[in-house]
Amino acid sequence: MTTEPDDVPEEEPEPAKTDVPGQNEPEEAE
Amino acid sequence: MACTSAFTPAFLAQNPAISGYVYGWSSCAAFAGAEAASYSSCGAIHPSGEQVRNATNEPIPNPLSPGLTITQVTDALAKLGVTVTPFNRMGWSEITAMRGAGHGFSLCVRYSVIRPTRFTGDPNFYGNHQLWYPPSGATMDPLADGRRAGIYRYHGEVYPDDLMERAAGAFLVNYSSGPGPIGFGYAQGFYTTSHPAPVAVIEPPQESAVRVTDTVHQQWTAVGTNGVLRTTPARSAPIAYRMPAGSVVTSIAEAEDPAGNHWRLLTHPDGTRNPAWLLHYGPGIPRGHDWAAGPITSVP
Repeated sequence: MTTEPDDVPEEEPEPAKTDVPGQNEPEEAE
Repeated sequence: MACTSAFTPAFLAQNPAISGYVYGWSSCAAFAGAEAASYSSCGAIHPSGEQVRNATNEPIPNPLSPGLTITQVTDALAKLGVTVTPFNRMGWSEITAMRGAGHGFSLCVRYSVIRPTRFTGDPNFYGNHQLWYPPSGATMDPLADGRRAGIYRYHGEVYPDDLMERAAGAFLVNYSSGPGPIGFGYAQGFYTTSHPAPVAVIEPPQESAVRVTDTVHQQWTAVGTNGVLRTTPARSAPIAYRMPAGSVVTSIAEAEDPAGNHWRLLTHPDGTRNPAWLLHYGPGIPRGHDWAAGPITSVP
């Protein structure tokens, strides 16, 4: 019927950093 | 003309070749944050991604960890005159409900979920990423600049809600036990505290119009700070409703109104129901997103 959330730790996670895409893109001009 | 939640900020590509910002690739959160600023202010405040990054405490990316956290961006936006609200973990139901009320979200996602779809902005990227996720569902991915074949180009298309939910749930966070996904049905990010008026508000049905199709009789108690419900007897998966710790719900009923909208009704021990706890899915709202949001105000 419905989709239930995952079972997760009660501990609330700290903010996490983003990662860096575009690693295989050609070098761009300034 | 009144500004509504249909207001669409300018799409901002993080690609340095387009944005002209040398740290663009490291700054997806700043670009999604810039779009949030524009939405929140109806275009009155419209910084570039570079300006948002420069207002953070890390204008030059740390080479060991070049990205940004939500709090770095929300602090930067505050300096630029825009107040947004960060959250370390929120239930998807509440996000859905708040979007319906006009709040826009800067949503943390794991790109490994989006990468293999036609919405991909980088077929080689699997990591943590940030998107602008407005009430309309027309997601802005700072990578979606159509820079070459195989790269999705933003054009205002509504992203599938289940794709957004799965991508958000896979966002990698750190627990004391180690790294892990934030969990399906949850997300990290921030939302616009101020926001344009919602285009439409879905009204809950009158009690008499509801046909209850299933009722679960258990006692549910909210624990922790994020409204996770634990049941008596114990249930393997907690239910994510936001409510004060200690709040008690004695039944959760599935219901369907004559229009085909599905609802979940939560009843307090005294038999009362708070309309704010009705949540919906149905025409225009995918199934599986019937998680209620809003405070319980009358728990005895």
